Amino acid sequence: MQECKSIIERLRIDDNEVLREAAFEAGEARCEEAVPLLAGLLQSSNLGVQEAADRALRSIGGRSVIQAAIPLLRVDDAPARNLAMDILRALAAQDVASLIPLIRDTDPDIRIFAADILGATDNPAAVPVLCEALLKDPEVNVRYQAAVSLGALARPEAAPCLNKAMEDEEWVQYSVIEALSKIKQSSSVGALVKAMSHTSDLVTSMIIDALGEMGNVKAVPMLLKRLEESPTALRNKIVKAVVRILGGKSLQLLSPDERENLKVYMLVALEDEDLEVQDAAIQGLAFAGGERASEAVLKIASRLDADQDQERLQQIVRALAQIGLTSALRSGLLSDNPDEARVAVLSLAIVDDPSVPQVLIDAFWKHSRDLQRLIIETLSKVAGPSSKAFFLDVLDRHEDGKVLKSAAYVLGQKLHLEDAADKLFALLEHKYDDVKEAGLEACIAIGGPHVNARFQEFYASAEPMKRLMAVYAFGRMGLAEHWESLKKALHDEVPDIRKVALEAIAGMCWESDAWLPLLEDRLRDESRDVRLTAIDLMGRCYGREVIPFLLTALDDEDDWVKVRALDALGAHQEREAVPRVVPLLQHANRLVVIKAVEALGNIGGTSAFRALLDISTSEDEPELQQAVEASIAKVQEAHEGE
Amino acid sequence: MSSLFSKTITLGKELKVSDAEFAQLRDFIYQQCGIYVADNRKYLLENRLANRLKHLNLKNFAEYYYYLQYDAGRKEELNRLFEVITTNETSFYRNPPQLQVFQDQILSDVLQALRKSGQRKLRIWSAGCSTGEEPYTMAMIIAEVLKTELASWDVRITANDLSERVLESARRGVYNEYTLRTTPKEILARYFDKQDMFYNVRPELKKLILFHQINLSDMTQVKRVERSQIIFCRNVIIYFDDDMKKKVIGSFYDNLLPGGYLIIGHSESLHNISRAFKPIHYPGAIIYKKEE
Ligand SMILES: C[S@@+](CC[C@H](N)C(=O)[O-])C[C@H]1O[C@@H](n2cnc3c(N)ncnc32)[C@H](O)[C@@H]1O
Repeated sequence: MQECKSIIERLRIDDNEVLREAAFEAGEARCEEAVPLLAGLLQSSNLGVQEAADRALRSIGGRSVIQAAIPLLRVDDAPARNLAMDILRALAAQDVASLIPLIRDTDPDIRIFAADILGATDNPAAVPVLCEALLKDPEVNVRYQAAVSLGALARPEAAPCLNKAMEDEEWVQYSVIEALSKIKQSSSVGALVKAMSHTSDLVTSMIIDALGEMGNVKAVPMLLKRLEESPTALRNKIVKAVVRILGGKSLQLLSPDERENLKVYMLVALEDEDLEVQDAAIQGLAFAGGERASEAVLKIASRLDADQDQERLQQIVRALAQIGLTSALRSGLLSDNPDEARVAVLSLAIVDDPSVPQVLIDAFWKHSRDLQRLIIETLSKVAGPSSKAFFLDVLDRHEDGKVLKSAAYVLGQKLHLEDAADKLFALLEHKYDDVKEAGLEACIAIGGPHVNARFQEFYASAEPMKRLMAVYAFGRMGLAEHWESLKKALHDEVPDIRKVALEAIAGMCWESDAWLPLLEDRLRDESRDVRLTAIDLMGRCYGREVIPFLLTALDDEDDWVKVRALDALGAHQEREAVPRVVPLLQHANRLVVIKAVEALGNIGGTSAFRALLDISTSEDEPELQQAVEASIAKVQEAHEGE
Repeated sequence: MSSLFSKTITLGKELKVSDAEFAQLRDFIYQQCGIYVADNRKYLLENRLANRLKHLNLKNFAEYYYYLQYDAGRKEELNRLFEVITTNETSFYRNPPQLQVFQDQILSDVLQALRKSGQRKLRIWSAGCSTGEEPYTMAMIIAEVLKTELASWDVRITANDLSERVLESARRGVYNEYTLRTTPKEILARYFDKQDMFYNVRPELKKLILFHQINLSDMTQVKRVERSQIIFCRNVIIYFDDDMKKKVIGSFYDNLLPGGYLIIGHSESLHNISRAFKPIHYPGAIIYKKEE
């Protein structure tokens, strides 16, 4: 290629900036001819050049790069050698055959490198060669690396040679155990257990971890057997491994004696420094249960940071809930330590016990605002009618918006409590919008003549906010008696009220005689939001009578009104709309064009099809191109189905 | 009384982003500014953008995506979107140990070299400057070091950011107590005018800095930035994925004059991103140097 030629010329110029740029270009253009020069530049003393050559070689890739990088493994220049290593690891899968012979090299360093690189090939052909090196190479570091790489490949056929290598010296055992725990072959459990009779403490503890990792039940009896005779640190690891293998639930499969015994050790393991050990103990205790477990686990939780330890906290909360409503949890709820109390609330929220609501209510007023919010939010999920006095009291006495919202929800949506209506109406004048909204929803949920009368007052108010709420409520209550009021609201001076009124009457669209003229009027509304809503409603409440209006809306000055009309016509496959839609394909706003294309695709038919075929699209408009293709396909499909 | 609170009480609320819509938006954002929105931020995006959708009267996130591409208001909306996905958190004298190294080692080394060559032209680039605290801090440090000599130097700090909104407030140069919390008192007195509760940056400091909008993922824009001796890009590349980091850091390398320095956030590293720089370890900071 011409381009490569000029790049190669520049790769010979002795100027670092030129070299760096040329190297990048060689990579982008994938100039294979440049590979030897680029490989040479890995030895440049300029780091910028080195880096560019490195990137280029990786992006070119393939056999030629691998061949060029291999000799660099033998150079004295350490940075270049490391770069070559990295490149070979990254590209190893592309040419395994060239790499295999290196593992029989006479130079032990090269054999170590080769064992390393072969681990990155993701190719089964590397397994037998690595196994051979693992069992026969005279150099311990080659054997070590071979095991690491077999672990990286994680293929089951490597298990037998790894099992055998457990007889090698300790240094090799480390990596063999790692590898076996990745491969997870059942045959290895026996080999690992057997090895434990003669391994050092460190290796033994690694084996225990590995057995836990492998998750094979076969290992459990033997692990339990070792519990008694092991020192605390090792015992904690065994607890972890057993819980990992059985997962809390299957702990029930152990004999009562074994279980009781294990429970004692799990309580001890809670004190371990290793978080994973702690977590396993927590998981196990969640199933074993009991006062002491509850107390000890809660203690751990109260020392955690709500932001940083989120995940652990969630796990602990689940565990505590599973243990159930203990006295430890009750007194934790009343604790002065807000973190502890918080965990108690979160746990109680999911404890399955009928006395939970009262326990929470009793604690509510003792706490500060943040906890109160959490408690009442929890109560809003678990409390029933017997707690109504509490919530009414909260409405009277509390000032916090969040707390009030929760109370409103319970009294309104949950309990439909008519006695609460007046207190809830007071919330509609609260200074925060979200509290107003919560009060509004609660009142609507309660309904009934009294609530209705109160909303009528609002409707007649001079304050737009009150009128808006009334109109919204009328719509939601769906009573025929509000029909006239809603009609009048369509002409309110405030656009937002008109819009909400429109949505309110949407529910009545089956009476199209009465409904349509009202909507029609709003299609000429000066507010674009109101027009948009009107079109939207026509689409949702579609019938022959709305078609002319939708067609007119295609000429609206606002593009989003056009879009909504196109959506509606498309969704209802309105063939008679096609002649009006086609001109929009020339519209200046690409959004309108795309929506027109989609509409035509939905509508289908010959003339829509022709129009779609006539659109010329260019590469730099992938969105449009995609839309056109999809629509054409859709029309064809529909046609074949006909 | 523009909208009461009808934006929230309109019927049919609950805007959820579907997986397909999320993927679409994510790709779009990545294309636009190189920021990769990870899966675990999907909820955040949904949450924060739902109000935008309601405000724009859009029905779903697919429409929002179209809006961002085609609507007349798209530029403005894009800026809002950027604000949702980035944080602009910053402050004066952020990370003092690093700045100490900058003042005592880096700056003095660069000034020394410039004096020797008789070229009194200093160029610093603050990439991702947010509301301006970082470049003003640079300016103050330079003024402190050069003192009366400053007048005889040609100093310019190029400061840019993706967000027009933060740049606007950077140009204004009015700050409150909180963002100045780690600023030494005597510095406050020398470089700010106090007005009520606020501090205004003095004009002689302002004129050292040139603020303008730039998208670091747009290589053509980045190439046009004047070459500098020192680049600050702190707490910005955290938003990018590795590919994008490599591109941006590569372009910093190209921008730096030989022997120049790159300073990134103290929790960031170039590990696996670039080997072109030589990391220099100082107590409390790692600074990256381009060879002479
Ligand atoms: C957390 S602030 C860091 C401010 C300052 N450098 C510091 O360390 O205090 C990150 C800034 O990077 C900006 N940013 C994010 N992506 C960007 C991009 N692609 N191009 C330019 N600026 C970007 C954001 O707008 C934001 O203001």
